[in-house]
Amino acid sequence: MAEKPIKSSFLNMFFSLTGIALMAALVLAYTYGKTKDLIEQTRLKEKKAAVNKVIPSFDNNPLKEMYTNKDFPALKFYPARLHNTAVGTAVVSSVQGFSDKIKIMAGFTTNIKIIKIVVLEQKETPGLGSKIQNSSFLKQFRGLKPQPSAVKVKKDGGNIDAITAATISSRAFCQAVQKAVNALQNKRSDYTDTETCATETSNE
Amino acid sequence: MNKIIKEFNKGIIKENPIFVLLLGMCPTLGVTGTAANGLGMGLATMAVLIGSNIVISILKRVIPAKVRIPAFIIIIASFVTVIDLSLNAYFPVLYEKLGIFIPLIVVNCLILGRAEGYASKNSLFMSIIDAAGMGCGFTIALTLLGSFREILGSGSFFSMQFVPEGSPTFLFFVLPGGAFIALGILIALFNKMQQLSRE
Repeated sequence: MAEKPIKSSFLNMFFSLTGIALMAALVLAYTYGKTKDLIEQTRLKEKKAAVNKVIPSFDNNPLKEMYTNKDFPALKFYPARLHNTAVGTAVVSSVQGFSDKIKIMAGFTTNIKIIKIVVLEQKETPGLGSKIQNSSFLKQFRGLKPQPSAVKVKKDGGNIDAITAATISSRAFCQAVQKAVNALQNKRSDYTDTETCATETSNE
Repeated sequence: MNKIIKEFNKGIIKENPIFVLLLGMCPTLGVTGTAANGLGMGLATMAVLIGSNIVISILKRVIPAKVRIPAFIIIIASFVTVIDLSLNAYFPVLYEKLGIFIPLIVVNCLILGRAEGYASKNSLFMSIIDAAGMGCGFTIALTLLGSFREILGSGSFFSMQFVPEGSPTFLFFVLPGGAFIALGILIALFNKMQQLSRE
């Protein structure tokens, strides 16, 4: 049944590999073109769904109005407005967790009160650190007004119950939230010295 | 007809890629934290395997022996990229879970092994049967391993929780180390079953 393949002469090898590579390139180009828009759409939809989760009602497109703050390059801000009045800001913040970056999106009211927080990305230890996604941990933050006291776990003098056996993950999570708070506050008090403002909140 | 059934079955039992040939251990150990992940990975691998076996079987006469490995790898890598992009576009949830393990299908020795050992020597039809059988064997094994680890480690099956939230489970089985132990136990059971059926 097995027919012999063509001889391994230089020309044969050259044309065979070139042909196969060309075919592969064509197929890949076609698939890429077909899926590109869809992939982009899904990514946008996911982001929008996250904003929807942390800020209850808005009628603008926060994704389009995204801005950054050069003092806090890791953060992204998505302002939300309803009937042209600001109702809050969703902030994407990330910090180093126990095994990898923890990325969260936190929704704040205009006077910097936490509405809700969702975890966007995390690779913490399953069953331990990964519980930062559980509602029992996240609901502690709901309605929290992070100043003047900083967002900290109880061990560090704050009022957040850390997850058992996952203090590092809990601490990192609080840091991510605090970072967002600092940045927002910094923006509100544009005329005050940014440095003191940031240190004040984290030292108290 | 008998031959077809035999070729198909061999991938599931006699030459099961995971429990007997021990091929493709990287995704096997890496993604089988839950049954759904195992099933998804198995199906993605099966799709690549069938695709690459078809193309390689068709092209086997125009691929010179000396450059067959690079040729196979190009074909396999193209299929993997197509699967990678399509999963990302149409099944974003699954794509997020399987993550890095999809591109790694390229270097899954099961696929290159079937290309080199079967598709490059056999007819198109038999190559498809071989790929389907091997793919099924791989999927079944991955799903079994995923279920085993999920049931013991998270107390759920295909994300259906059957122990109350917060109750203690064998967390160890969800962690990478537990994958080795779980795989060992399953291979031992599989061998015992084969032994019993031979007697």
